[in-house]
Amino acid sequence: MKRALVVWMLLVLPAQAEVAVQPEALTLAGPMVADISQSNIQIHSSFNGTELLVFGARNARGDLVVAVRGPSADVRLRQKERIAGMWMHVDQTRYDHLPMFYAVASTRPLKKIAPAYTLNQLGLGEHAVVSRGNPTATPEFNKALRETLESKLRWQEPFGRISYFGESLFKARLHLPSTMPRGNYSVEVYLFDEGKPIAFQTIPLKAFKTGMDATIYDEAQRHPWLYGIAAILMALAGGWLAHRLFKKD
Amino acid sequence: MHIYLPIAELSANAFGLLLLGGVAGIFSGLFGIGGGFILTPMLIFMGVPPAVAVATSANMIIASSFSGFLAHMKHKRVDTHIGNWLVAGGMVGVILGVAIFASMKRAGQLDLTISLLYIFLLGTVGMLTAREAWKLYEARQRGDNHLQYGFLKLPDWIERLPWQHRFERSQVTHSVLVPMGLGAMSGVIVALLGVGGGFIMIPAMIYILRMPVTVTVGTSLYQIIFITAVATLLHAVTTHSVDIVLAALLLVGSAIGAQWGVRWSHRIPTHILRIGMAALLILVVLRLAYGLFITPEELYTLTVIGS
Repeated sequence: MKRALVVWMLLVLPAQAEVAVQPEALTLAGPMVADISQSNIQIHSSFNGTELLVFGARNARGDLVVAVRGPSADVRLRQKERIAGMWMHVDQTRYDHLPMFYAVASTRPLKKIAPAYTLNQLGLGEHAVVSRGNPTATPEFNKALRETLESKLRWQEPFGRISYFGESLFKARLHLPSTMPRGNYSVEVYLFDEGKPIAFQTIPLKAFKTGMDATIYDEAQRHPWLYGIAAILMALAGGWLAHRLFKKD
Repeated sequence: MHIYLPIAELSANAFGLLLLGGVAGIFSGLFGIGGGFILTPMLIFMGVPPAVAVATSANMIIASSFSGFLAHMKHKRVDTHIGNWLVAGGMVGVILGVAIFASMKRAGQLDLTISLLYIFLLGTVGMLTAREAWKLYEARQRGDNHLQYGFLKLPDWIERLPWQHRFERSQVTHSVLVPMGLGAMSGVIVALLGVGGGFIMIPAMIYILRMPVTVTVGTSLYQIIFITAVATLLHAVTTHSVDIVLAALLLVGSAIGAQWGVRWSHRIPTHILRIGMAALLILVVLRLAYGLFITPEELYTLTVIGS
């Protein structure tokens, strides 16, 4: 009976959510299968964040972890100190390939699900992500990095809640904030049993900006010469117009 | 009505920005200066990143100097001959200034550099203006309406520089290196601070180049158009920091504000105008200095490399 329900949910749930489960994902999944409610997110000018549903089924016992990893970048963290009364940047540390969005939902705190070694191997959890970006940075910088990203809601741990329906079905309702950067994301779903990952699935997610301001931003990045010339022509036209409108005769 | 500024990456009130442009325009009309040195600090106080504030102000100043230039051109109060040499030097200065700007941004010291340069420059100009206002006041007490200015005596080697040239419109003879050097200096200031630099160039034209006062404003505007245009282009290419939406709102506000400023300036005595300008400059300096000395909200700043 239970098995029949799982099969039924697998067939019906994705269809309801209007997302097709990829066949290879099904075969790869083994003891677990999962999908997400929307694979494209439009960040328009009045975007206020959005809800992302991660759902699936498992046929083995264990702890579930859902991690949403955003596009990565190389960053520099600078520290200000007071010199001769003035606050200025004095010290800095670099982190490479750091996700600009990272959020982790889990059934129990990560530390209790798997040992630190395993989490670091998988790059799972803020701690592991930070040390991957720069293994030699000081604890003060690492703490400041996490706080800076958390204050912008770019990083969140713990994040959302995973709920079960019966033994096999699970659902995580995650709120993606308005500050989410655009780019390619991956939603990673892990099933741990006694500290070991026994199933893993990654589902791509894409966030893109739409609207006039996104177009302007893109043009400024992609065609900076044309953009600069357009800015000059706009100003010259504005100046000429002001002269025509306000000239004294 | 809130509008999202795509390059500054913040949401701001569109009427507030029109008003800010208007205030800068009123001051520029009142005091006969470009509004840049008021505008850039105001944008920084609003939360616009300093790099964007500087580059966008440069963009906006193209518009205000172009409309001013057209008015002066109609009355033939422009010496384009000497102006071209100022522009030539200005190009070198802008390239140098933008290079310093970009390298300071990479080093994480751009915000500090902009603040310190503003404090130094506006503090100096503010003090000189206050002194001038006091002299004007004394002259009025004696019954004079105008101050007598003496030319600056330049060192001999400057007078003997090669490529001496006769500038007919202004009736002066200089080595072309003198206007080029002055142009280069103003180019650096334009690129680093997002101001037109007229408040330095006009005195330099009067005291150093000994140009007739009637052509100085027009010629200064003439060179500012070119220098701010090149600064805008280079900022757009090197640091992508020109916000076209912000510039458009500011220039509409400033065009309207300048009309009021010019009208009011005819009704207010010169020494009062000078005192007002000095007070305004000192206020901006104090506010900038305050920003450097108070403990910042965030002790750490995160920047993306190579974006």
